[in-house]
Amino acid sequence: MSLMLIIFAVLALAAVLAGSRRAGDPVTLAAAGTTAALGLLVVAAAMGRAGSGLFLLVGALTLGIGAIVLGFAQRYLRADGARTRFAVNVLVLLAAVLLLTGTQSVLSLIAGWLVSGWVLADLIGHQRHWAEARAARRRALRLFTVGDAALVAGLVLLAWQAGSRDVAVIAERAAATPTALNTLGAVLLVVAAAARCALPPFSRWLTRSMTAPTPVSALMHAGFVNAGGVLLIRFGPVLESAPAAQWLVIGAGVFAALWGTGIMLVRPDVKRALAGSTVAQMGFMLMTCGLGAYAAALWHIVAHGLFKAWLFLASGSAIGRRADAAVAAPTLGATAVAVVLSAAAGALTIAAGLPPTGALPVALAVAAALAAAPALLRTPALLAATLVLAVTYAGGVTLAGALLARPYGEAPAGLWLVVGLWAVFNLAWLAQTARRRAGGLLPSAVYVRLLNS
Amino acid sequence: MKPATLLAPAHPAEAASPVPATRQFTRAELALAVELAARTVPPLWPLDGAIAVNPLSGFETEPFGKAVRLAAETFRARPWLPLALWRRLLTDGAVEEAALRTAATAWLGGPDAAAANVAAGVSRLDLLMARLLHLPEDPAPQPVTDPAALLVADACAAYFSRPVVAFGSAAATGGLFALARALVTEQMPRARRADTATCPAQPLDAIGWALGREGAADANPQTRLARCVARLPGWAGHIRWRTEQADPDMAAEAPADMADLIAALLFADAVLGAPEAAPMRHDPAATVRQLAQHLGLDAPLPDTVEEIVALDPAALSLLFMQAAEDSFTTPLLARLSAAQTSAGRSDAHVPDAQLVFCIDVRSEPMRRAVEAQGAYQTVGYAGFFGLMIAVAEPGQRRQRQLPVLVSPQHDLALLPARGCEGEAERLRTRRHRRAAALTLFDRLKAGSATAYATAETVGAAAGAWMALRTAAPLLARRLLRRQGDPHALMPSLDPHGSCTGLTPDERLAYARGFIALTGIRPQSRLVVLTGHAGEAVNNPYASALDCGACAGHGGAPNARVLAAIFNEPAIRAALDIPEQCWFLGAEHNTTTDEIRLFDTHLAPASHHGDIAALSASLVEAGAGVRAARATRLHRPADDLARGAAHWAEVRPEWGLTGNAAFIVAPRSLTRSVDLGGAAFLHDYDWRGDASGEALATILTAPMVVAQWINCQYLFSTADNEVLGAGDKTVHNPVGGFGVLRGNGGDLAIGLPRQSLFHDDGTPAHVPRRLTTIVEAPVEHVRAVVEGQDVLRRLFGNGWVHLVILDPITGQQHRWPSVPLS
Amino acid sequence: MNDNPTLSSMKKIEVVVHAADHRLIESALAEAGIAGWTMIRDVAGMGHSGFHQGRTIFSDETGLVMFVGVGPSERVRQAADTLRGFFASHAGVLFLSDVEVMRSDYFRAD
Repeated sequence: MSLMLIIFAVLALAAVLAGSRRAGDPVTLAAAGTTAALGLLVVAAAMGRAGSGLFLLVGALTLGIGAIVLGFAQRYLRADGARTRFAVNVLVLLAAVLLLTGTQSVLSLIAGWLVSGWVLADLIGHQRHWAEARAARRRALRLFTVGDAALVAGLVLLAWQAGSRDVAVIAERAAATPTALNTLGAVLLVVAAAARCALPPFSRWLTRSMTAPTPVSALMHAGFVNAGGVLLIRFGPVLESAPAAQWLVIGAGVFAALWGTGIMLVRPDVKRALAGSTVAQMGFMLMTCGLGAYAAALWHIVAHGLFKAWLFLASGSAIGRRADAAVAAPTLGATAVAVVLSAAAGALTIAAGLPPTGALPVALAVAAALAAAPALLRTPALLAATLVLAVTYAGGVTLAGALLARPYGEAPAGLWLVVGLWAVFNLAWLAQTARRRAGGLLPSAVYVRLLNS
Repeated sequence: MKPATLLAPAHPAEAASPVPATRQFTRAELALAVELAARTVPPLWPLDGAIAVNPLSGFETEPFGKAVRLAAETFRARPWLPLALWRRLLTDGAVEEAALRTAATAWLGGPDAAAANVAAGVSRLDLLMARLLHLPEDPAPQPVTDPAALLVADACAAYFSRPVVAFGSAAATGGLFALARALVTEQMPRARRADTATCPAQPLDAIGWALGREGAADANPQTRLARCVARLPGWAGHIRWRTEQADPDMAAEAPADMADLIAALLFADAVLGAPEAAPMRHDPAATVRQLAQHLGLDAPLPDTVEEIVALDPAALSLLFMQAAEDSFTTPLLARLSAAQTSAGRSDAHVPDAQLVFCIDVRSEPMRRAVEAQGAYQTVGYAGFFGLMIAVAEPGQRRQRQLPVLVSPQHDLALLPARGCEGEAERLRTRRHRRAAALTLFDRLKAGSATAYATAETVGAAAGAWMALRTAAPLLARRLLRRQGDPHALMPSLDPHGSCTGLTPDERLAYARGFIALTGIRPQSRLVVLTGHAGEAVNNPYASALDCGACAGHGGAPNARVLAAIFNEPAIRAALDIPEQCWFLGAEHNTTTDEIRLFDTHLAPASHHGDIAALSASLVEAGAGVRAARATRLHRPADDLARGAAHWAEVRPEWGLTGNAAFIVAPRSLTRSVDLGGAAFLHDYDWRGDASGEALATILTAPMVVAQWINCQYLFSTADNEVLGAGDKTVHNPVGGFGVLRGNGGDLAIGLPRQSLFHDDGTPAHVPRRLTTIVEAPVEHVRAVVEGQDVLRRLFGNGWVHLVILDPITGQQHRWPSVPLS
Repeated sequence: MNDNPTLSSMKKIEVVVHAADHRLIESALAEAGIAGWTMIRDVAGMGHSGFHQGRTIFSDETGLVMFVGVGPSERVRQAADTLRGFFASHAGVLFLSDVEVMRSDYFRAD
């Protein structure tokens, strides 16, 4: 844990210098500090002294995104009168996320969780003179409070049950002695994770957070919403000892995945459509945690974070973009073929010995690849690029699996659960394709609810 | 969003008493009223071809002072710069205190009236100056919460983005009003939905229904409808653009007109209640107290000061603006007068090259720098070079390349330029591949089953790319440039497919017209026609930096077309162009101050040396201009190229910030004057224009465009939140044509804060109305101005100042206009 | 005086307005049911506010335009009534006159 302290020291120094307003541009200082901290983390990892694998990977993601966002903000926020406040807030946020990821003490975890929520709300309301921003900040704080209360209650309960304040000990003992109170604690953790990850009914804070400057949104969707997933990975054994909680998170995750996709498909503005996409992705990620596939969830956290941050920072390029009519929408038949082959791939993976929960991402990946196949086969360069990307994906999941102490846990049910989930996603995909080809119209009631989510 | 008002009756009185009988309006009456109401806001061009428009164009028939106050009420805005910012500009030297005193004295009625004492040692002028410089100003108008407008804005966003969004509402097939109605109705509790079920489906009928419900007994519903339009100037402007300016196939994708918007707002008002706004009134009593306190007076002030005390904030701000205008114009006119008398008109030497630049204010520093490099003659002319064309890549949508005041007469196909076929082919294939990849990517990331795998696969690469773009933007740009050079394509003069091209007669007509209107005599070895464009990456407002005369696009196509025309043997013979002249098209990159010469490989071998020499001069000139510009941007000069390539740069250049004058005269008048990039320069020689037609052409088109630009910059600076686009960092692109601010609401109009203000909040653009300076005999100008309604309006109502420098008498004449405040 | 049975009586409407107002006149005519009309650009003239020059080459909004439309009497009167409100606040003139046309069905676009 001394690594964490060193990193904190670096970030704190940067924050102090930034806040002093005399040492130079605050955002530049913050960017330098974050990059230095990232460098330290990498060096420590190379020396094998980086603490838990989870801390290494999530820490690298957080600091990496932080550095990019601060570097972006150097120019982007040039005219912002509150640059210092922004820089200091970002540094505190990064430190808080690192704390809740790497600390072994439950109290520190709670502290990191609470502080990161308050600081993010402040960043959402960064433009204090703007009434809409202030309202968005209040809304975020309201919804965070629900999650925070659930977290505190859940962790206190679990710690009391286990008789320890150490995260690893709590996780072990919960697995050893499951009780009804244990289940309650697990459910509370799920609620806390759902609130932080913006699953419905908690998604409003995220879908109405566009009052934040673009770099803040990028940081939010990449480094902050993950905290729910990190929590469930760290307390995986607790979850597995309480199947009710697992069912809850799987159900909530699936609903969020479909609902979020719906939001993304109807929102006309880029940023809110991306928010809908994040809701869906976080739902999927939490569902994966519920299934016990922690390695897959961890890689998803990392990859999605980078992906979403890039989409946000590049949102200014959306002007002038028109859908290329020349590329035909996929036919229902082609989609159906992809679905069937995806099922086959899943079956093969299971036959090869991978646990069912590990087969689900593979099956979905194959579906995606087949959907892309016609276009890719036409352009060899694109195919080559995609193959490279597929290799990095596989490598990423392997890395995540290697870094986690417990890459795979127990799902609440076996093969049929996975098949059921696979079916839900693919049926939704088929329905979506069919409706799109039929004109892409939704009934008014559904449309309005999605639009206003 | 469920506002409490949904549960309360829309009109508390309605529940108690029956709806009073009102006059029924005929559809034709309503149609006319809607059309007139639509003029409250100007059309809003999409951001991929952004055009500067005057946000107060609906008030141009009024004198400036009155228009500004009317607009303040209608838009609930503050179209005048707050005193706090004027005082900062005064401290920075942009406004001279002496000029302010002069303006104040003039307003008071002259030096005697101003010096009249109101108390011991305190003159009326002291009171007015105290109000201007020291007293606290009235608070700004509070924004009004308008839930009805937010809902309708959401409906507009959903409706107009339909072509690019995956799924839409079934209700939208009925039109914009149907969709808005569905959105509003869905928010209502079921029990209340019967209240508004009687509303007709047709928008005009619905307007009649709503006006009837409100009990509007007015003979003329004009004001109510105009106020509706003014609540959403962005979306209303977008609708105006669609119905009046867009190509019909584009408009047909999402048909709507102003009646839809007004009907939607009235319907939403019927459900949610119309917003109440307390009018903003100036309190003279408070001012009296403040004055007394500031000047340390005990005795009550005499009644003669009533008019000073009653001055509203608009009046004070406009006095400052007048002072700012005088601070700029008076020294300028003095220098021009001096130049006029001392200018030697002998240009006996043949220049090494003649360069024609656009009238854009950014051309002026470059022209000065180029002229300093050697024997170069520069000429100012509208950047579209008189060509009424639109260009289109085969199979793509066409792109206008001319001022929006006219319609294109010819369509030219964008085909590979001669000698660039390989590059063009590479461009075509890579562009196609990129489009296919993007569409595939969009589809995959939106698929219910495929989105997750897509994120997991692309994520790592996205991280690397982000880091590269942030830390090494120039390298990233070099990688992106491997996608091909767009300038490998050039508009073809010959017919191609559905593009008509230009017939030989038309080419000759354009060439002849160009020579006549510029008065240029081609004689150098090189004649360079220089269009201009800005350069920015990941920036919704990128096209605001491009050439307004080319409909918000770069000027390279026009420059190359005209150069190609002039190089044709038939044209050269017909116009007697000397053998040694070779024409080149070029483009001035206003962000990096580089001038790129096109098609130099097509020039005869004899001219290669000249081209090399010219290129070297241009590079030198560019470096000098860049250094000066970098100072204004408070950045090192070598950072400008990085900024143009960096995806986070919000201010790649200042654009037309600082524009204040439009000079219609030969270059000899302005050559020795440093105009600081604040003037539009159009060449004009009155001696060759007996009929006045050329002057009329210049004043009714380029000058009108300049006025639009000037007014947009002026009002966007004065009230950046309502009449401008606000802060860029919270912009949220929608539909590919505009941006919203934050979570939703109206489409942004005007320019963003970053383009107009320094980082510390001081305005970089000083609000000054355009001053047009014409060098021609007074009667000559008068005949032209009085024969055109738009000029009578602009000059007579004080929207644009007109100063005539009479070359015969040597005197300056100011065009009389109505007093300001 | 309808000597020739192939000619029928209709009303003609002529409107002269600023070029910038042409869309308004077009929609008023369309609203009244007069589907076809002729627009003459580059019109100059003398009016209350002075002499108006014709169109300048780089702007469609300068000068005056003149609309000539023919239709059944009720429709033309309706168009005139609609435009009454416009002329209350804008410059321009409007004339109605009787006219005889061939192919009366040509002017009754329905």
